Amino acid sequence: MRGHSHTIVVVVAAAATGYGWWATGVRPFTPAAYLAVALPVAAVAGAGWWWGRHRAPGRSPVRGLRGAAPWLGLALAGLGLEIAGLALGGRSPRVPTLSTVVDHALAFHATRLVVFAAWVALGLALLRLRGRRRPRSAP
Amino acid sequence: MIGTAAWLALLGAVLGALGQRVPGWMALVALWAFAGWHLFARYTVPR
Repeated sequence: MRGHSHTIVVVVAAAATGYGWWATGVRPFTPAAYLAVALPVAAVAGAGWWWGRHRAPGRSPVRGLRGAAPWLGLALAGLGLEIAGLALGGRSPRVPTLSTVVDHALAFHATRLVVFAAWVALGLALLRLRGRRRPRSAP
Repeated sequence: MIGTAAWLALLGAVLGALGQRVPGWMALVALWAFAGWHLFARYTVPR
């Protein structure tokens, strides 16, 4: 039984790696590129929607803007870093903007695969966040 | 056309979260989807 589940993990990991390799190899601005991103998004959004409908009653740890505030704060911090980098020199290698860092990270197929895997892992983390629930607080 | 629709979807998710009519989780998924869409479907590395 243990060997069987191990085989499943290996097969899923190989399939995910193959999908990631294909997804990071297609040209941007093409239907294949949109499809490559849309499939994981649809899977995470669909699973989260299903989870929300079928889980036991209880409050999700993320509810409303207050729950999302740390994540939104991180996004705003990234935006602020980008604006500061642009204000301090744009594409200067001494003051790299987020875009310059991303340019280096996406320059090679293998590094694009790593960034894509990190993006998918973030989506799965969001899904786990959706599944977690905290008990209702006493009135 | 697709880009305009994505921007409008993101705007709708943010406005919905601000009104607290949708769970914050949906806003997070919208941000995550936007990042993937931008990086892997709409981003060309300069040569």
